[in-house]
Amino acid sequence: MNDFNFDRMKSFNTPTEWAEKAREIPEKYKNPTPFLFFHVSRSFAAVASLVLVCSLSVLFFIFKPDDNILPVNPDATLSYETVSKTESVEPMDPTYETGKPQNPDEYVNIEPTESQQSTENPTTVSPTQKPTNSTEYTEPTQKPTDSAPTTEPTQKPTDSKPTSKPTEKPTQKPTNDPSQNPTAGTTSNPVICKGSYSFNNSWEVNSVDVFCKLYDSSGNLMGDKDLYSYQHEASIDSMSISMVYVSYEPTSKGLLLPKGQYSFYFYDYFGKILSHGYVTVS
Amino acid sequence: MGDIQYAGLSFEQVVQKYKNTVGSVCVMRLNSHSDADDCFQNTFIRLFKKSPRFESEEHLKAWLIHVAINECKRFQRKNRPYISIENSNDAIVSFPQEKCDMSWALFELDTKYRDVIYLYYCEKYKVNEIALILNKSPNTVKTLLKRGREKLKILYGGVDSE
Repeated sequence: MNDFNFDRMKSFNTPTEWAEKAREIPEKYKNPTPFLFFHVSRSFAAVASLVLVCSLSVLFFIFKPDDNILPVNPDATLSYETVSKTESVEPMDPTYETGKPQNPDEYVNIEPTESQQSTENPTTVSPTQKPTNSTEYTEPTQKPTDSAPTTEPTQKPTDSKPTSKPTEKPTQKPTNDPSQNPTAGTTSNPVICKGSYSFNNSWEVNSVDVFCKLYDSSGNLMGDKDLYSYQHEASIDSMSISMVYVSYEPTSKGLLLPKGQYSFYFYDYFGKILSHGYVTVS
Repeated sequence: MGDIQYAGLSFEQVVQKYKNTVGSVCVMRLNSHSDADDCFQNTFIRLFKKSPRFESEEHLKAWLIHVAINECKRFQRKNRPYISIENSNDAIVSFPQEKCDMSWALFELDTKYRDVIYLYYCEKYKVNEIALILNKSPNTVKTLLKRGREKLKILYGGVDSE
């Protein structure tokens, strides 16, 4: 093999324009463009959806019926005049228990369940590619003050009935009021997907990007079809010995998620699944 | 731009110093000038974005080669089927056999052998270092090296003097 000449390969001269383009990288990436303008079509869709959500939120806020008049009796009709704040409304639903939300959508369930293996997208998850570590999730950073069982009989918000609608929140303004937070869109709280996986050496961590994709319960991919676009980029939070902890916040990437349950997968840019789990958006 | 240091070098100095190394890896991997250009740029973009800490310039160089190879793999994966050198008008110039130049034979090899052969003979890396760069075990690297030599011998028709 010593007779073989590798000089030609070694002395490959990179064209000067390659190097010049590379030198401009820091200038080009110093001020990253906001995600809304990353792609014109995507920015247009994001802006349009924001406008739609804001207008719906405003309409809802304006025409939101008073807590007092929402009928607990399913047979009763909505009336803004008949029920005053001083009247008490008894829960008509015999199954209602104090502290138990009627509407399952009000659960903020971020905890993963290993048993809930997703079969919604079997093509992307190889049965042999079991995540090496259990997926960890966090509850939304802002635990909604009203996600818990909404009304207690002893709770007396300033202007609501003590035992009024089990599904209704106290009239104290929720911290996640959509009208005050237009970017939340259809989600009441920021959704954060978290996961962890093991790695063999630090080369992998420093040189391989991590991405995250979400599928709804129907198996539809949420967000950009290009799985390696900015919208799917996840963040590496921390590392310990042989473990990497990653997170992905779809709302920060302009991904507005309707209510429902989603399965998410962390993967590298070879498509290898690193971690997965479930998240419920209320 | 000059704030971030990579093993004591500024970004521009890194580009200037390792452009041929990274370029060679990309060209060797992709057989196409424009494709290699894309991966070349992506490698330095990744360097800028990640800005990892390097213990030494050797560490930096090895990291660049590792990322360049990964970028090429990613590019090939994304652009399958990729055009062979015979069909691509954008391919690099083929190297004539009569000049006793191994380059043409190297391009005939499968990429997994090409990586190892290139790193071993062109960049003078040791087996353990190649294993780290390619994220393979040293035994795998040795096996690929051995098989790569045998294939080169068949292609080139020479005698292995080692």
